[in-house]
Amino acid sequence: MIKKATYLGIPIRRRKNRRWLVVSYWIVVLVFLASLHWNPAMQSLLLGRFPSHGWAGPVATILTSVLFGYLTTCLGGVFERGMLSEWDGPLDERDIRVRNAAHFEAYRIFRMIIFPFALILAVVFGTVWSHYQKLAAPLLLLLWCLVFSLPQSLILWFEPDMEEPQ
Amino acid sequence: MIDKRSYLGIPLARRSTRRWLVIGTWVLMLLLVAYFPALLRIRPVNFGYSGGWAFGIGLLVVNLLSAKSGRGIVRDFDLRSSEEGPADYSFMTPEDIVARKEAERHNRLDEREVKARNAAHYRAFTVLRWTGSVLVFAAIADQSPSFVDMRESLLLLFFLLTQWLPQSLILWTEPDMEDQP
Repeated sequence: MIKKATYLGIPIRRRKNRRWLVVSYWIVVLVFLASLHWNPAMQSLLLGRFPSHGWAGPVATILTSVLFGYLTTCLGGVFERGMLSEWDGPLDERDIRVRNAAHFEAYRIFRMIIFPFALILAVVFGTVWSHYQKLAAPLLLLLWCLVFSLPQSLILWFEPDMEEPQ
Repeated sequence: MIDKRSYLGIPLARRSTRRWLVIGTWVLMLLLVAYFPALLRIRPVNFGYSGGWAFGIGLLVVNLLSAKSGRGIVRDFDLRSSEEGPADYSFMTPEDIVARKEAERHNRLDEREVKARNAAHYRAFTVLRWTGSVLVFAAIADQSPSFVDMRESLLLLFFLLTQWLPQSLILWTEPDMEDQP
């Protein structure tokens, strides 16, 4: 399932290293989303909050999509990049079992967190001119990160150490 | 994976019947998704939030088929699998241990069921991934009030998918049951 021995120069044969990598990934995501919530410059850049420019919205959407598309697929799995083999590529029986089990666990976590998540978003969507609106974008982007990275994180977290090459 | 031969009078042994059931419930769900924003805006009469009851209907239908606590058609997803280690029997009398082991033997998911369950979740997660992307894109692309309805509908659809898609896939794909002797 894990197709590389190193990633960005970091050896990932040891589970311990992979766990640090996963923790770092989620810290980067959360810091990024927090800065999006608190920092007006980031909001302007990624959400197109320029009142007088009609073109800013679409440009910001494309920029955000590219940036988050890159960030959320860097662990691999969905596309042929990152540390993990592509989900729909040629996998052996064990890899398929690991992949499906990780998705089951991820789905279980998702099912638990989605109710409060949906409730907050419903309130945020429903209140058009309120200060809660600022929460919508970070929450939605967190949702995006979760659907694209949670199973990958679980696999990287739980897969045992690889054997050393002879 | 499906432990009932009939549910609310509907025979479930044939896959074709189960597929009609899945189609019927999804049609109901999609209607609810389409009319959800309108339902939310009905003025409250007896309850604080008018949309609460619409949400309740969705949850009720989801629960009918859910794989929780043996209520629905599909077996509980969280039953212990044969691959997991032994349960903790400390502080139990020998009679209780025997009774519990018997109950566990009955409730345990076998290897084929675990495989079907996990594969259904993999497929469902793939759908979730792309639905989530559409939701996020739709929500951040245009933040004007005119798109509020669409965002609310998409959010409800996403919620229903997280609760109910794996069960639908299992009902859809599991083969016909053998006829009883």
